Amino acid sequence: MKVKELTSANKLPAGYTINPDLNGKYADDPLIQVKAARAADLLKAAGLPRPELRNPRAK
Amino acid sequence: MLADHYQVETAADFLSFEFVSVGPRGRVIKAVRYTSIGFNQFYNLGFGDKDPVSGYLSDTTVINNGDSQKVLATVASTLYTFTKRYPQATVVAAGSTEARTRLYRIGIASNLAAIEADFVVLGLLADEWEPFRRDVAYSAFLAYRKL
Repeated sequence: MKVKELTSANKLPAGYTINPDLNGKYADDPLIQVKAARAADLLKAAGLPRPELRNPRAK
Repeated sequence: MLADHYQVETAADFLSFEFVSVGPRGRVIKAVRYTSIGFNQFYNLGFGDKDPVSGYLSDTTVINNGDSQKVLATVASTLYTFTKRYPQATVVAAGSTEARTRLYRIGIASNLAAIEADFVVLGLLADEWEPFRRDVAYSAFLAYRKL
């Protein structure tokens, strides 16, 4: 497994390396797909957060 | 700052991450995947152990490697890295079981001061999102960067 170390501190936090073998990995994993579908169902059922809860983003 | 975390490998698009849990039960490859879920800029945080035989992920196995805090801190660190690349993203996380969701809650609570310095964190209680509070049995969590 070839791992590319990035030296630029502003590109990756400490302790992180880029591994090209991970590109797209787990996108089709059954657990990941089930959990993503569940999260979508959850948002459909509960709705999005009220606008006032999202206000800090606008500040 | 987050607590001590494991070394992490990331895909170039910062959607997939892997790290290795090391403890009395040996080395366990853990993976985190952020998946767009069809709402504008909403992503699910998927997390599990990689089965060494099938290569598939599972979040129902219990390894008890004695490093759950470090593992959760590592998962939290991927949230920083992911949202640095996708600053408008809102991330949703929920465990597959109540026990797993409780573990997520403990992980958030343990790193809450650090996380809330940079993120808004909400919990889902009775189909209502509210600001995260410790010791509340939420069924899911949501986080996004303070911009």
